[in-house]
Amino acid sequence: MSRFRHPLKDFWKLCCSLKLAIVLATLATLTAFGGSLLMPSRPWIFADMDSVNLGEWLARQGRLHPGATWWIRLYGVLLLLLGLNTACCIADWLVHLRARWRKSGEYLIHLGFVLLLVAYLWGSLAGFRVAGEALAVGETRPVPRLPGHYLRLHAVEPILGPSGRPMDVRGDLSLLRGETVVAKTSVRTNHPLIWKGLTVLGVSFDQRNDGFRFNGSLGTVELRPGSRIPLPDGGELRILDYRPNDDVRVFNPIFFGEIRRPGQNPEPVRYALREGLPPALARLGLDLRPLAPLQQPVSILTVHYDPGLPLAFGGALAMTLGILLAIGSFYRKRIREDRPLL
Amino acid sequence: MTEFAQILLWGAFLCYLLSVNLYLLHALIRRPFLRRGAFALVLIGFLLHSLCLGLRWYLAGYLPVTNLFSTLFFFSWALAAVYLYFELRYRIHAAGLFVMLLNLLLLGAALPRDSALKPLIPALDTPLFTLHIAFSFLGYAFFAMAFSLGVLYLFQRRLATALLPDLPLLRQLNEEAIFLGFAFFSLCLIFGGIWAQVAWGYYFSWNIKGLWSFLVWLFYAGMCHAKFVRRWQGTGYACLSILGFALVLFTYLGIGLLMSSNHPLD
Ligand code: HEM
Repeated sequence: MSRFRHPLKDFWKLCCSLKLAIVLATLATLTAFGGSLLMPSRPWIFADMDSVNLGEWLARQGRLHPGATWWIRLYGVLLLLLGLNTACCIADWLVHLRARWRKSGEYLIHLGFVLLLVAYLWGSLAGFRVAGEALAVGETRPVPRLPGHYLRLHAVEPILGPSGRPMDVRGDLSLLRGETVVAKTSVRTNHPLIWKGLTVLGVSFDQRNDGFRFNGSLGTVELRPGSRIPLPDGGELRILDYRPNDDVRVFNPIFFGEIRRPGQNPEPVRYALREGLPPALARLGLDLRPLAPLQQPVSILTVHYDPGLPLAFGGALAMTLGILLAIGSFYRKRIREDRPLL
Repeated sequence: MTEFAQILLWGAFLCYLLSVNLYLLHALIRRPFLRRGAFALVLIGFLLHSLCLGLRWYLAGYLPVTNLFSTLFFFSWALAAVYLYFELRYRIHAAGLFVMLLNLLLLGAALPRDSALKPLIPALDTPLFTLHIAFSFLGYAFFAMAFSLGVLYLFQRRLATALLPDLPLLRQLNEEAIFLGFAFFSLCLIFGGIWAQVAWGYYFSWNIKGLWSFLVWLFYAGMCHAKFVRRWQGTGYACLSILGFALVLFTYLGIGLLMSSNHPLD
């Protein structure tokens, strides 16, 4: 009878074994030490590893360069096994926990490690990273790949050093879920907008041509998406969209809009500046001479989403607390002679 | 760097140099006053070293640990502090020769390098940077101490000399240095991870320095356990301490100087 019960018990003992932990950690370390030596000599494979999360990167580069990347999968598996080993070890401790609070520091370090591993795995599989998102002042745009969330830029300005050198860029940014603002931050170097697993970094500053200034019979007017210009016949010109370039030419500004008159259907208007005033506006005797393009400051943002981030933070906190407690208990163990002797 | 800071720096170096010589003399002719003199010189050297560090910190407005000079300078300061902790707590006496020799090499390697204090770039202008670096070199200093104790353990096993602490004490001190080094290095990685999250948007970067730092951490985590395994106690532990420090040196200097990484040195 007892022969049937032993294999399970033995298996559990193996799962909680310290020696197994040392073997796994050694194998993981050797795998990554060896594999990482490929990194500097093959920048075309490894240089952009941080631009996407690990799962996406492995799916792409792992397929293209299996010979140079297999070690990352092996390393990941070994670390996961070490994580499982550590989790079993914690479970075993908890089962046998009897007034052993003096070891809570050690427990917290181990728990922190498991939480960090789970968080990293989660983020690598379910997170994403998007770079180069340009957001103009006043603009509200959906967060890429995160439905229902929007970013709104209120202001952006360069920060100059004492000698006038540009040092940084500050962007006042809000994050909205639906219509509700859930986070608001002045984003600059080392000060991203962080909300749950979302991190938005302001990386750069630019300008975008978003309309034109005109002169003529209406005086000086600025047209950009959202502009509404009263017309002499009582109607209103509404600008819906603006494109500085068309598919063929680099600079061929075109406005898309409509003329609204009370009791009538809106009349679509397309005004390509190279082609001159469209008939719908010319008919009104309007004179709209382009003066200069309008420039809108733009913040270039990087958006990272890592659903495991709060868990990782919890893991780091557990480990920090654990370390502080373990330093104390290390010396207490010494005083009690509760340490391994030869 | 101001002239006064230079004087402090050279003063500290000279004190350490003299103390190594006195320790060496003590190893040869074994007069207690030589050992006491050597220790007094370490104390004075450390005081000058600390004053120089404080002055540079004050002048720069941030903890200056941004290039090869300042990291070697800080590493050496941390190692001297760690040595003083072990000397004052356990009276390891002649064991100081090896540690202070290592310390002298570190500070000596810093001396010919550029010590100018440059304005801090915004990316480094955060307390997370200070904590990351301070804990990193504190960890490294304990690993350097463990390396020294490991070497001394192997010596003592062959020589059985009264000059050095006995084997059980050396073993105990080695375990303590590894544990404290691991604790501080963990804090270094945690603060580094938080900093990476706010600076780059992810807490672990797949570059060779980040990867090797994690592996060094894993190696020392393994060592925190190896002391519970009978076969690895004593000699095995001493050898692991030496191997571990080789990894530390490669991670700190080898990668910073030989390869391009996001942790350049100079
Ligand atoms: C990478 C993951 C791990 C880390 C960072 C870690 C860290 C630590 C630390 C710092 C200590 C305290 C050592 C001391 O008191 O000097 C410790 C103790 C210990 N760890 Fe781990 N550990 C890990 C994984 C594991 C695993 C997988 C196991 C179980 C198989 C384990 C079992 C133990 C045991 C039994 C102790 C001794 C506790 C005591 O009685 O004092 N550890 N660990």
